[in-house]
Amino acid sequence: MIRKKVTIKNSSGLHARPSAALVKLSSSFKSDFFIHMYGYRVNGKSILGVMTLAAEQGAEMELEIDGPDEKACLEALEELIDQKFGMKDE
Amino acid sequence: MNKLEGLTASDGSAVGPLFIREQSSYETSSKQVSLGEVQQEIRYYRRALEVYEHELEQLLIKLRGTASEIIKSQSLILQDEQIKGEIINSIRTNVVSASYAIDQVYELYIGRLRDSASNLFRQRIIDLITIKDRLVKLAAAYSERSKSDEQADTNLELPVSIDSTPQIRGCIVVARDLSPTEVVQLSESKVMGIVLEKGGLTAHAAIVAQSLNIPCLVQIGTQIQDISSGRIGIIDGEEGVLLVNPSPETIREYKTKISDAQVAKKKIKPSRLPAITKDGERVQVHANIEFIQELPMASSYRAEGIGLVRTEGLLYGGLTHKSEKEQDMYYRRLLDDSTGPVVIRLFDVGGDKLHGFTTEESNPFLGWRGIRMLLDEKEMLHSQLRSILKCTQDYPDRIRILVPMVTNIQEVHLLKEELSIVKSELIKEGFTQVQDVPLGIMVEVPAVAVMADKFAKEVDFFSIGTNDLTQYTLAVDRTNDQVGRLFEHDHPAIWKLVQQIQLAAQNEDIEVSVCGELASTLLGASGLIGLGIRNLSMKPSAILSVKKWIHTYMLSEFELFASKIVKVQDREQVHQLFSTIFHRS
Repeated sequence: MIRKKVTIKNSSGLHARPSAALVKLSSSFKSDFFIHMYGYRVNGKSILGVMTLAAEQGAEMELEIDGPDEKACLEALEELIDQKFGMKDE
Repeated sequence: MNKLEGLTASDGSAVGPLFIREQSSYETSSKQVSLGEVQQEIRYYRRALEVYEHELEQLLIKLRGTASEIIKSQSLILQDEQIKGEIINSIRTNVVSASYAIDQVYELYIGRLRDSASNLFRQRIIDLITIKDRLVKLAAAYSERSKSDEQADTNLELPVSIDSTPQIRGCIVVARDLSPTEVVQLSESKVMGIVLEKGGLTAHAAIVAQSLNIPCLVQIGTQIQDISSGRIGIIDGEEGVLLVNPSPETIREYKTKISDAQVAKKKIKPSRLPAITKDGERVQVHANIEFIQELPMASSYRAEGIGLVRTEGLLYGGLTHKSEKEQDMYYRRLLDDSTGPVVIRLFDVGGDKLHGFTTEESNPFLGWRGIRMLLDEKEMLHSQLRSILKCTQDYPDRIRILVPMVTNIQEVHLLKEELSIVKSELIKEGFTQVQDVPLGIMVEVPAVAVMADKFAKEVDFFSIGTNDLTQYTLAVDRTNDQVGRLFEHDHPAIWKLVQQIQLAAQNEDIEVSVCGELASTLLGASGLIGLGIRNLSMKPSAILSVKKWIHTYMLSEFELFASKIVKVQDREQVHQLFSTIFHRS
């Protein structure tokens, strides 16, 4: 299992479309994926769980990934977050 | 006639009978079921999912771009395995009906959004409520039907959606709030426009309305409750108002205006000419850019330069030595893919973006940001100045530096010192061809506008940021729902400041451009040109309509308008003048 802290960078935070991108990407990996934030632990493959974290720009969260492809999964997720989910800032 | 003020979330005007859409209400069917019914309830839930998914697919066929992404994300919520599991689990372990379980599980998540401090997230509550309501309704309908008909269990036919009622065709729909799916359904029913009591400019309903070209007003407020169905209404998208019970004359007037606008829209072609008034006065129209991807649009509309490069995007990911290289690449791409001058604004961010959550300020817009932060964070400032100055070797005479959030003259002096330090370092390192760069400041703090005559002696150009200037002058946070409507960048106070800034610049013979949103509106561009501004910088998508507008009128008309708007007492009068002088309302 690996855990890693990340910061949300896109201006509008983890709203519906970025959440959707995160869920889609993580679901393409075998590993289990959870997000820790504000004392919640939500399933990172659940869009409702991710979205209702209401993570704004600057929010810090910890990713927890466990499974055979955990390393690749973490790398991919970090890149997605770094690239601001490929969204133009609105 | 009644006039209700709101905010325009999707452009355009519309005329039609008002249709008041009541909040849908329903009762979740009986909570407890018998153990023997549990499997059946789970089936109702699965069936409701299938049907709703099918409905969304039907909507998706008609959508493209952002709107389609929004609807897809609704469908993802529907298919969320975690939620499915929780609902089925709840039916099983609590022995309750599907509709009750759906309601309970969704409410749990909706509650979390209600607790969020962010407006944007609270705006998404309506999305979840709509999904929940539809699922509950579908599941309850199946349950009802199975009681009256043994065979209904296998029947997939849908309960009729209330939105397919024919009477809303041609109407302006008035509602408390709407979800994106509801907006698409309304568009299918050919409604003329949408008016929301709540909502916001970033609500999904607003984004979808934009992409479907349905005029939409939001934040009309509780006055909406006094409206009754059947009355005639007019949405005026330019003014952001809803007119109730207008005179037949007004109705005719708007109908003509709407059909004119439709004709004009079809005629528009990319203007390859520079912006020149009817009597030959040149106005520079430049583009505001943050992402490299925006450059093709800027060049296809013949932007004559990049009037504002927002560099903040480079900061995410942290500044290291590696990032000086990234900056180099970014600036070079910008310069390669554009023509004319390129005005690079130094990092315009608050401290929160640098050190993460910990240094949260209670009032970030009055806090440690822009030049205030840059002068404290020398390493970051130097990396940016180094990168920009190095570019001058390969792109001579094209680069200008713009300093954000300046308040005091002292800040300009300090920045000049840093610039010369960086320059001599570079020369020592062998970059002997680096040039001096014209240095300008953002005029966005009222103190600078008032003291513009002093600043004009110290810098090479001004760039007026009307968004922040308005925010600071009128003391309004436009993202705040309660006061956002008070954000008037065309307020007479702003015009007077612009006039003062322009005169100060003229006296010292330095250039002024305007890069705020005001420059991208027809009213704004008219006033600015009339006040003597000859350089407007705007989002690429606005360039075309502004150029067309400039081509249509004489400089004297713009000047007449400008001479009056600095004398009136409120924004209303500014808009009245605009319609009188330019025959628009």
